[in-house]
Amino acid sequence: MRILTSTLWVATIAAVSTDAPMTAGRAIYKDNCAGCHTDSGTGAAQLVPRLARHPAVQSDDPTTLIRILLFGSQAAETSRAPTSPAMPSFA
Amino acid sequence: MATKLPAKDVAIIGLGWTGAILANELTDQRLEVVAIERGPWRDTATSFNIGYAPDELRYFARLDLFQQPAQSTVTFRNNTNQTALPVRQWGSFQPGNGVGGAGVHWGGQTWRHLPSDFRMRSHLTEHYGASFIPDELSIEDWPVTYAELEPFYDRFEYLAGVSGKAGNLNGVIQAGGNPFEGSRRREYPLPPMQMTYAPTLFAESARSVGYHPFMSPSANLSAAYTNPLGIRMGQCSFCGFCVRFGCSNYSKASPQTSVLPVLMRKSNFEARTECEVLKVNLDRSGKRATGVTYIDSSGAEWEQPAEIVLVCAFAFNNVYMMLISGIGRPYDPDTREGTVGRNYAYQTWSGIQLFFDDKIFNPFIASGACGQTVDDFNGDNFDHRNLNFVGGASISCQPTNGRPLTYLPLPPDTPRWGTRWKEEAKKNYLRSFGFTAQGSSYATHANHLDLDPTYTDRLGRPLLRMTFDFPDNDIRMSSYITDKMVPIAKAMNPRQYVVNRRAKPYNVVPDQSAHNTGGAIMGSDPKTSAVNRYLQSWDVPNVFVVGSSAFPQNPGYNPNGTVCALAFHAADAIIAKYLRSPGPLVPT
Repeated sequence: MRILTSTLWVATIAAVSTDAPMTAGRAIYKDNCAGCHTDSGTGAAQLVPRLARHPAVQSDDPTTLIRILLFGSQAAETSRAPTSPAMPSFA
Repeated sequence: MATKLPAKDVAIIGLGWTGAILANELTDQRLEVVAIERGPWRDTATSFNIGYAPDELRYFARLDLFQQPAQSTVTFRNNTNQTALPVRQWGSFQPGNGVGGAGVHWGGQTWRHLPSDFRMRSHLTEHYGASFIPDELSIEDWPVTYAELEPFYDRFEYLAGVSGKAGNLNGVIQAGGNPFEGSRRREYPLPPMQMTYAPTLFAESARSVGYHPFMSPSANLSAAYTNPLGIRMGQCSFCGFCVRFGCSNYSKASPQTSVLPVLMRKSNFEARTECEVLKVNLDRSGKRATGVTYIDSSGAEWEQPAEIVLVCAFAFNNVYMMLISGIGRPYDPDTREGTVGRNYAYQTWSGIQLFFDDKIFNPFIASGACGQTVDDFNGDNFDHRNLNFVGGASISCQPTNGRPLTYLPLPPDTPRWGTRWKEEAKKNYLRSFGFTAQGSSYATHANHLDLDPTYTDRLGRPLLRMTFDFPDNDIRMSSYITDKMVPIAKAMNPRQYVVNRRAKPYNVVPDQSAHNTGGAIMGSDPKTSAVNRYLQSWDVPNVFVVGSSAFPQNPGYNPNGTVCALAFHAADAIIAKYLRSPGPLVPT
């Protein structure tokens, strides 16, 4: 759990930590998340959510993050915004 | 016995680029459309999951996204004196499969053919005299001109979000673009991709020897983009997993990124996956299609009646569908009569690999179509008067990957294993790159497709038989172009450069190109072409056959830009002409 939250925290804080979970989290984030969410956690407008300062990332309760990692997530589709981009399950 | 289903207006065979484009256009006309796709459903997040999408063994080596030879394959021979044998493992080319088709695993190069490519026989005759065209070649004019296709090229480029720099805007040559290209109405929707080092060096060198390099047009997006359908795509991350892979982050244009989100929402569209069409059904006259018969994954047979049938499978699978359904007269190379299977063509590659001591290229920072191209020696961009061939090639430096399993450029004298192999691998992995000539492949009277007399698929249907060898003309062309590449290599002062020339006979085993063309070519004469200028079958006018199968011969470019322009062109004709007055759109 600490690694999970650390993984997502590296998107929100620029500080380089020597703390082991933070170091592991940074590597996991780089391998699995940065391809879409980018190194700095900015995401891509209207396609990939911004993680930097995202409430789900900053919350003390990791339930939402765990759910998204396990089950993935997909944006709603509308006639004006049909893309409905999705994140896969990382389970 | 097939179970008959309720009729649809349109049945589409294959849901790749062309099937998706046509389905989207025709459902906008309130037609009821069903696409029947042999392979599985695929969408970005679940099928190209970024957690395992870059699995080189699964996708690149074991060809997970492709047609499986056990499901269906082709037989191959170089000439009619040989007995064709089945291709049991894809090598030279790999046909797509599943939703998105080859549009899932392509690299993203999105070219327009040269204006002269479309009237090749007339152009060559006017410039050099009819006798200049070698007897072995069956070059034809296309029945459409560049100017007629230009609006449809434009539509596809804006649908896909192509990144590039125009070389000719409304007749005015533009700095930084291809000075040889036909006039285009407007710029590309996105600016060119950022250049990596190898193509930058290649371009500097090409310029220094007097050539005109420009940034290759790419459907790997240089920036975020919303296409005319309102679908959002992302910026390419240069991960280097494009060719043979699906794109994980919505940045390589595909039917999934560019059409399907809108198409799948429509209540008058249906996609049936893992359903393989057995044949197009014809009525007793043989002049009208009544629909298609297909088999689902449980082995049950279904008959889908439809008013219009669109054959939108991979190039040679389109030809197969015509042959197996009895649409049009099969081509006979002895009498040179018949149309279906005629003018099968391919691509004629050569290349130069360079090895440096003092330069680092980081090949893993790559994209499927990011690079630079020289078009000085493509098509008839150069004077052939004193030469002994027709045709040409685009010369490109487009490093697509530095993947760990299969990317390892080594000088030819390197051992295959051991200490020296390790030393050379370490020394060269970062310090090498190549550039290639993608040569035209001009049709001959001998090269063709037909049904194999011996080998059958798992359902007992004859396999498609491919008869192909490189025309002598194309070998002479490739040799000349390769000579023209050498000065570019020399000007970069590499430690070593290795020239890989193309020789006869064509070998179906080593990887070359998935740019198979022809076999159901478009033309103005029903005696020598299978479909008319709208890709409508001359023989069965409610059947349209869409794809590179329609190319009369193959120019020196990747085919998909033209394939999708032809799909829009066909859709436009069906809507504007055929729906108002169903029947032949070109009088015979």
